[in-house]
Amino acid sequence: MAGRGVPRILLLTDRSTLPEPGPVIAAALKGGGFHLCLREKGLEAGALLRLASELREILLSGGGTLLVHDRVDVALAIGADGVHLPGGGIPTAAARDLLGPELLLGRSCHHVEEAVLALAAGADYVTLSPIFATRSHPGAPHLGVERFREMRCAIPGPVLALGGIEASNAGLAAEAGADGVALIRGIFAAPDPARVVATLRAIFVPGGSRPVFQRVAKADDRSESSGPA
Amino acid sequence: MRGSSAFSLLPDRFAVSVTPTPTPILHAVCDIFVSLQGEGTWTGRPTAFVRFWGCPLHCPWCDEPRHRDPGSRRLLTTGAIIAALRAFGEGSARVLLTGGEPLAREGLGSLVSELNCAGFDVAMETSGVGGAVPPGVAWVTLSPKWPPPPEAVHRRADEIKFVVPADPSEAVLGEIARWSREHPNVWVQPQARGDEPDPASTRRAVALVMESRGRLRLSLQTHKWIGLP
Repeated sequence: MAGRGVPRILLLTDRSTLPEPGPVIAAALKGGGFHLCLREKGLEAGALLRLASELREILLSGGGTLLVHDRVDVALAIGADGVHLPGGGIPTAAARDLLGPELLLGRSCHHVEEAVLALAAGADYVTLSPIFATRSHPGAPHLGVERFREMRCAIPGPVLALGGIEASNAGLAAEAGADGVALIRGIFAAPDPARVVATLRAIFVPGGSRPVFQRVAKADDRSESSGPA
Repeated sequence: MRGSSAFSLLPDRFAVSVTPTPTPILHAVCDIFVSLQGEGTWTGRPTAFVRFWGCPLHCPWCDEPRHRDPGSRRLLTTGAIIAALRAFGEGSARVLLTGGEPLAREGLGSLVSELNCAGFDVAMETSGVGGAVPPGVAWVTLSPKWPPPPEAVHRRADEIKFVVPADPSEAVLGEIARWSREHPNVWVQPQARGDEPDPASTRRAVALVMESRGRLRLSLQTHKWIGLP
């Protein structure tokens, strides 16, 4: 288990892109470990719990880590590795209180101030978006690499780039200071998801590199940042 | 001088003096974490480490290769560094600026000043190459390489730590002997081989200590024994 290791590669499920994500997740795991965020806004808690249970089995077999989007209750019920809060989710500090100190906690942010507050309130990482134009929101404004770089410099913790990320542009995000990437269509609409994961791992986890920002050290806690490969 | 490109469209008689928004100083870092100091005088003390990216030296035995890894380079504002340190809590009251080579980084004096203002006790580990130690640094660990840095840096140092190979040159032995006489706090530390002290270097370091009549002490990287960063 990756424990509090910050995601370098965070895959977000989306039934509108892929109704049955299990087979693609299993295939993607052949490219190496990653974090999966179960992000199904339309599902009731019971259905979400069942889907989380199925996906966790797949992830456990291949070295993946499960986060639940928004629903702290579901994450605790299923024994997930953590929660990713949306911008409109419960306060970060409240989620941290519920999750305890060990589980992973991230938050979606669009502004530096949000990110600074989230990290100070106990988030392990934030996503900053949208770095690139997205197919889900055609024509919507995006940050672009330079603005992302400027914002990243002012954020005191791990930042994952989100929005329009694909294997082909992830390197630009890394050059702009991203500690990792979060993606939806870039994996679930890709013809070869294992290859996408392998490419992203080569960029963000070369040689099992440890993260730049680390939580308070514990003796013999040598856990790598993106889950077991 | 015109402070904004927008004013360049105006005739000269409309020229106004505009103070441009200062560009924030960005610091290239590759690690921010809290651990226990494992070496030298302050062994065992909780310390927040800010490791700068980049070093003008290329010591073949360097055991911190991250400062040369482009993937570990993060540009952060002073505010982001301070916020990251504050998030560590009380364990970060003492901050060690290390590297890479902190003295070779632009904006170091400003960072130290801001850290002091924010209530941090600032220490530094340096090879002595790259510039003068700025005011506000409460503790300087000098780890001199070859050729030796200026004498003034030795005298400014609160401790001097020589990293000793199995077969140090006569010149290096001369430096160790000189400063063991002229400085009250001098350590020898065996070169590392991975996470362990190199056995031959250790034997040599122990021999130097035994021959020094109490002027030298042995420094070991004790944090590595218990898996701390």
